[in-house]
Amino acid sequence: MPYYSVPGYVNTMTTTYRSAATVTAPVTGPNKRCKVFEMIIGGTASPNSTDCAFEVDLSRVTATGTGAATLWTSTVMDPADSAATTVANIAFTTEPQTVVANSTLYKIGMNQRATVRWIAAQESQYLVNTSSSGSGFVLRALSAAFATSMGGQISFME
Amino acid sequence: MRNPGGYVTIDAPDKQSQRIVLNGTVIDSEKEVDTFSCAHCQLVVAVKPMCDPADMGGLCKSCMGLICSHCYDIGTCTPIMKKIEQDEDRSRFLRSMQEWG
Repeated sequence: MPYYSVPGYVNTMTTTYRSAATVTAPVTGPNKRCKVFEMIIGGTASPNSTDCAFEVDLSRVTATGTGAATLWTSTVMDPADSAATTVANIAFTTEPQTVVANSTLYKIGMNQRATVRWIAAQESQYLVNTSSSGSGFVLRALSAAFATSMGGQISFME
Repeated sequence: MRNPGGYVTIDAPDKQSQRIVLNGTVIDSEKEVDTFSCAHCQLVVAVKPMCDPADMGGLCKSCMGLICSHCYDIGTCTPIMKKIEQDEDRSRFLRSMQEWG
């Protein structure tokens, strides 16, 4: 089972969600189930002088629309493995996803100076996605005061 | 609770910056906290040290998986892998109908 990572980021955070990264099953096959096992989240710019926080959310998406993002070739953790079938996009400037209502799997409020890493140490704890075309996960963030950039890496297995 | 299965680590320069709120659970002055993924919906639930499983949700006696409080209140057992298979079956069916026109 090959492992991949996607180093997503948000250039300018706003008071509404802005997506750092998506990992979705391709619209045309072959499709595989994507299993997220690690997320690393933190600010990537100098912190504000006034203390502030931001909020990060991992939700399910059912379809990737025509938003504006950078297509990312998922980084293969073992060079001997083949490229991922899962499609990854990072640094969205226009939100394209059809986010499934009430599908939040991981929502975290954190300080601008902190870096948070979640890891599923057992495979039973992985966040699994269906192989249905266009479905997947979106990692997105918002902040009321921290208006610079954050990084959000997703690592997954397929 | 034994064997939650996942964990969160928090790196921050001071105690104040270290506080996080994970899916509604305040984690204060901990550098590492255990988590589990709900066996029915996959919500990541933070597990406080020496916590009773009933405080975090519960144990599903049907699939023997740890579940979140929302799924515990629903009272039925539909493991996440069953939901995923149902979704894929639905997707395959819709695709075959489109091919038939």
